[in-house]
Amino acid sequence: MAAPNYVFKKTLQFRRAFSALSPAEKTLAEKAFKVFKANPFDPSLKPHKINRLSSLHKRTVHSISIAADLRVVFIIKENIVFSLDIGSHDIYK
Amino acid sequence: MSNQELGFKPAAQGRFQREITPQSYRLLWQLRTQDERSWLESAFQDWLRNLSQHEATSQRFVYQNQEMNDLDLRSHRGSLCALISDGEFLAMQYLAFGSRAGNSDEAEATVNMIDQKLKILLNTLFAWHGSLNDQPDVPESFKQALREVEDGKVLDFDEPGDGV
Repeated sequence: MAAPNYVFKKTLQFRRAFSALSPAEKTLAEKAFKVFKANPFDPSLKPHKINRLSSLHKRTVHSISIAADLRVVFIIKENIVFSLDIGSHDIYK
Repeated sequence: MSNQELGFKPAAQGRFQREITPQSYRLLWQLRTQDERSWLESAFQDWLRNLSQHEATSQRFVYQNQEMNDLDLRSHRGSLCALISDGEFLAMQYLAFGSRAGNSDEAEATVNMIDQKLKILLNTLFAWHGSLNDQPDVPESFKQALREVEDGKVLDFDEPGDGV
């Protein structure tokens, strides 16, 4: 089955959070984003679902790991990938 | 007396191995065949067993399940609601029994145990099936991001000028 032709969007919250990252974290993130935009579920990004938030939001909430404690949370509506936030695991716990 | 002896069919095979008939109604039927204290104690033990089973199935199909789907969540919510209903009914029966039998203290001790479990069940129901915006432990930044999506306040991921 062909991979969906995703369109990638980000929230203002995501942009604010990205701006607050350290230069080293930004470098790691930019590297990961290249993989993410090719396939948000690339195994190297360790994609996983956040079940409780998915239940509360009534839509699957996904997370990927960019580094040990640097995550991106996103949702998908139709073919649009909305990146919600970036930061430590505190962004969703 | 078992449900089968009372003429009820066994529960359907499924993820949640609970009786289809709520326990509250089974209590009334069993009351005809057992002394009140015995069936209350039996019902309390059944309820505790159902709680343990609920926790085990929730761990497997909801909390730790990376393939969780809507049916799993609906089953989780239904199971929580049934356990809450059964627990409330059981507490009422204990209080009524204690009043009739003149041993309210003993009944209240059991009701307090039931209430502790009910509090956990209600908290779990709220934490998993309540309103996202009312969850005190979900970060405000996450709620804000979802509101931005709903309001269409989103940018192209590769928008220039901010380094992403």
